[in-house]
Amino acid sequence: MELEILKEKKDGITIMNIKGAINAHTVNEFEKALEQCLENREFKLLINCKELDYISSAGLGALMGVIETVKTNGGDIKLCNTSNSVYRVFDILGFTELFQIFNSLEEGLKAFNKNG
Amino acid sequence: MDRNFYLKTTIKADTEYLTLINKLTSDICKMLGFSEENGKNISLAVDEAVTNTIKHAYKMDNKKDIEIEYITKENELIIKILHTGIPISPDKLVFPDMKEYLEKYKKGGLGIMLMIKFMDSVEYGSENDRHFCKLTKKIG
Repeated sequence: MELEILKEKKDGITIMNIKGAINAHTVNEFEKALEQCLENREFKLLINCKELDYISSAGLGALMGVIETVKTNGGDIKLCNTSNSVYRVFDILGFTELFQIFNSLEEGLKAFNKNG
Repeated sequence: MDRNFYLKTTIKADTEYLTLINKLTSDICKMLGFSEENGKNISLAVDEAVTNTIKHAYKMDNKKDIEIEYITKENELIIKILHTGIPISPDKLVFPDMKEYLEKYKKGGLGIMLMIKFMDSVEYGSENDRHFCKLTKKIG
């Protein structure tokens, strides 16, 4: 399987564990998972990229497609455990200004608990 | 490293080949002596160029062919993505203003930005009856 998404909940925060690649082929699955979160009114999303091989612009587009709804509902999308190459994609386009990225899952969870 | 490398592969215009092409590009870059970081950047640029070809040149018609050529010349890696679909006109390319993009939560147009940021040059053109996107990166 090229993309696997496993969801878990911790302290009211939805953690999405991503495994594989997010590109134009797999992005529908990623979008579906994000939309399902919105339907469930899960607006605090922490995307764990520990096993994410790579993300293309299709994946960034999927995040942009839901971020407004997430923010207007008092939530946020944060990321953690990105590899250098995944971080670089976010950073080079300025996406790190919109999406906070943390070195570990614990730091990401802590940031939600601190800032809401 | 000065060497002559040439590899050509043909895929159907289907996104199911993207991960495979990403891996192939990454392996070629490694073989040519690119750093892991540059190899991943180049692989992503190729992914974006192939995606654009599938979506815009062929409008998702997966019966069509896309050729990908990897050539080294004068210490540069040249990757050409060739097709016979609708040519991508460079003057119609839109480069998003990233500040506005992020403030207004826009979507789309990021692929070309990544290609430009990660490669030394990105060119579009036509030869004979085929159209191409040419990505170039200095080796080393």
